[in-house]
Amino acid sequence: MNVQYVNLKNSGSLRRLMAAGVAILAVAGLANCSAPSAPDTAKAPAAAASVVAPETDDTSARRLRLMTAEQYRNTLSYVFGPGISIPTAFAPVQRTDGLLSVGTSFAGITAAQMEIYQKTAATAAQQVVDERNRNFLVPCTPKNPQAADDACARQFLAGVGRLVYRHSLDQQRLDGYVKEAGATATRLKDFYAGLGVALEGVLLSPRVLMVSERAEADPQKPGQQRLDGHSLATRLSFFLWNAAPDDLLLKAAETGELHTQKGLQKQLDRMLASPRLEAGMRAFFDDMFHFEDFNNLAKDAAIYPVFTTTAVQDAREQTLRTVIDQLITKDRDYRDLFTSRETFISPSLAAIYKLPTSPGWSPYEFPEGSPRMGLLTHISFLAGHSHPGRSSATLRGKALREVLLCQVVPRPPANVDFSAVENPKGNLRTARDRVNFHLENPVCAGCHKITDPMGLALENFDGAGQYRETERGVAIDATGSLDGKSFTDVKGLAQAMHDHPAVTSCIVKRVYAYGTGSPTTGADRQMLQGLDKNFAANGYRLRELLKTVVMSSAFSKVADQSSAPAKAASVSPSSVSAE
Amino acid sequence: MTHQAKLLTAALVAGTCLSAPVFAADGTASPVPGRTIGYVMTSEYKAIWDTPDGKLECPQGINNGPREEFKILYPEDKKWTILESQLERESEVWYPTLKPQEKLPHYESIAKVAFGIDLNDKVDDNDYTDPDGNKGIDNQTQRAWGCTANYRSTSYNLGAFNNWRKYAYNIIVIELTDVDDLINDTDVTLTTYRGMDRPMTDATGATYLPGGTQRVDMRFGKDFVQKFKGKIVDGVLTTEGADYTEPSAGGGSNIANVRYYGARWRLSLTGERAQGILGGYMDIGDWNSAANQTRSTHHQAYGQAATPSIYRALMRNADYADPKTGQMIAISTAFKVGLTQVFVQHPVNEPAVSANGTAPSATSMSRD
Repeated sequence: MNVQYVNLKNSGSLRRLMAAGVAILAVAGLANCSAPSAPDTAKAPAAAASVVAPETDDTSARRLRLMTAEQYRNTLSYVFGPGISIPTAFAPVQRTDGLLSVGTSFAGITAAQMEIYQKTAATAAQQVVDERNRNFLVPCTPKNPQAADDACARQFLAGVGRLVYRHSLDQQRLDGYVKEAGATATRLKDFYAGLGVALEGVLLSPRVLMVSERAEADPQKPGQQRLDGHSLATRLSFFLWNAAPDDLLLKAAETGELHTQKGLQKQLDRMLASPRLEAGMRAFFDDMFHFEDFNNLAKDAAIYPVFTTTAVQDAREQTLRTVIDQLITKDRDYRDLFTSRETFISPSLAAIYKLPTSPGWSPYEFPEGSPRMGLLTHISFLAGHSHPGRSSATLRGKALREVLLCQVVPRPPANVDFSAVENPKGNLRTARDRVNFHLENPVCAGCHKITDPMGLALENFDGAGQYRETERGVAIDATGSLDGKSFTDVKGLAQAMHDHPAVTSCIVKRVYAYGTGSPTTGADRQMLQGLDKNFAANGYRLRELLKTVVMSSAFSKVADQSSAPAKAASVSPSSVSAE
Repeated sequence: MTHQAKLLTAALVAGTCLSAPVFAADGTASPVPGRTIGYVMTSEYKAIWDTPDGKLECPQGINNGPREEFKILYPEDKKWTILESQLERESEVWYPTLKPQEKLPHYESIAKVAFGIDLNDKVDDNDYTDPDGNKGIDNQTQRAWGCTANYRSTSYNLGAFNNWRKYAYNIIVIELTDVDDLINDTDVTLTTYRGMDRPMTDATGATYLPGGTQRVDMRFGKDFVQKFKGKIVDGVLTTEGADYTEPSAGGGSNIANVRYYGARWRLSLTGERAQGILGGYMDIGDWNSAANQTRSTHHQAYGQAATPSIYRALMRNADYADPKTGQMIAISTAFKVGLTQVFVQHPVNEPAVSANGTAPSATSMSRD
């Protein structure tokens, strides 16, 4: 323990990070982060891209983002192997424009958060240099394991540093880490202890924890800016893999290949074919679907004994597995997620679905005639958007609007009197009774008309997602409507969602914002419309959407923020009526 | 449907009781879709009728346990070698004898009431009447176990085999087939299996949940498969007798099997639960092996259960003779059992039932 303390006090990384600690990360701070021009790649032959990106000069904003815990874990796992355990969780960030990933551009660092970063880096570093791992994770053997060996330390730190910094370490920085490793090794008479301390400093570096995008002049478009090669590689990698770039992507950035259409397409194809894509897209949908809420989701065990802690985690996993299977593995139409009966079940979920199953996860297809159809009938949606002890047509309708259609439902006024609908002795026996009560009050009706008609179609599922036909002895009426389409049951709602134009424009908007790390604004409308059309033309395939976004001008071109106001300052509020 | 999903669905359809029971508002179920319903055992207690202070059925008091008996046999006023004391006692535990032990009296319950089932369709002098007034109840372990703290309802109860999630070996599954109606049906079949999955509990961990799935072990578990013919009257299933081997586990995953000759079930059924009595003539040698294999003397001492003395009491009250030798080998007994509904999944291409109505083959446990 003393070793960590002494050396961290001497660590320039910690001091630098502490100095940055009170800052709020924002794009405005990046105005002077332009890097020297990259090699001129303007003359590189244009690639025959398989996806036609919208022909625009759209730009996105440069961002300084805080790496998420999962990105940190994924990165270290890819660099050092899955045996390195990173159990700590970073502080949550505020969801912005529907995504936590966008919120990472608006995060602050507290002293407590600093401590978590330090512990996480120390834990990882200790595992890497541990006797069990050092022989295959450290590419050289010190001449004397009880003394400093600058050459070996340099070889290791240069290689690792490039991967976690997402670019090669400059000589001065590398020298500093080697010196740190040597001094500690000499003091403790242990080469690997020294190496561990230096690695801890690397992993704790602000340049590792903060993803800073840098711009350079675009040689193809004089007067315009583009991300430099490393920043583009980083944006691409965090977008598709939710992890730092690998060696090949960094090489493509270093050689300038990434700034050519052909080079970018080549890397894109490689990344889309990689198993890491699954982790990347799981992270995206986990973010889009607000699944971090499952970390704290609890139900009244007396009312829903079947809704165990295992079921909570499995509900989240079920949807993610289904989405990845449908959209990535099978490359299906995104809209079919709302009507598909194919999914996966586990024993804990099977008890809720009242189905037999095998241990572990099994693919399952609900039979024709089953009320289970599409994402809306997954337990993650039904239970995730219900009260602890009962279902909620309002919460489900609100989630449907906000999460899946990218609309915003106004918050209820602070002085709402819930007593009438919460009185258990009242004569409001079903959710529909309670909703009707809302609609009688003009103050409530304005918003409840937006959320409840489609939420009521899900009333055949209780607060844990279990199928039911009655509520308090009264037969459930599951009729409803969504933006002019009426239906009599959840199947109708599923089809209405499948056909709703906002379903596809919503995921386009989210994918774009997730990829660029920026909230979308009114200025992006035309570009998003272009992406929408392209998405439709490609059969609403997610893989094609990812390609289109990456190959779009906006993904690699950035606004000249030395003269333009920071985009982050204007997150446009959208609402049901506005969209 | 994908090929994989089709395969799984086909496997489930082929091998699983897909009939989700229809649950009525009062928790009962009537028609059973698919005519099949499964349950997994989630509680099993020795069915001892007793009173809180024991004065009525055990006027002489509660029996001594291993520690008390050891002190009596090997008083501290004399120096004993290990061979004379610990090893001698250890030998007695594993190879009990019927030699009278005047120093170690074993008190028997004198209750006239006992839980259980009429196992031989006769009303004999030694038979009990159960709390509901049914006569001819065969449960001689009421006498042998009734004054042993370990098995009494008011005591620390090592007889409560509530280890269903702790061990993997002792998962007992029953499957009712040919069920037209869970309330009244004149001809149903109950088949026992060893399950392979730990029963599922609710969010509190305190209650077993219906709706789980149990794969049945048809590879190593055929000894535990037995078929019982039965009928359901007013929601209560009663079966005819058949020999049954029950898997048990305890004490650090030690396992042992116990044979019950002429076993019968009486269960109140709902779509979610079944509870009642499992009765039968328990093989006393199997019991002794199982008791000592799955519970150390240390743990038996908590409940004052000294197996050498209990063994003698069981043999003294034995009421089932080996048909071949004529020697008494078993004693009538009863267990209070609780079961929770599960979907039973049979291996694909494996016959659901292979029992032929005779005693399952001998297990690795030997009778002395």
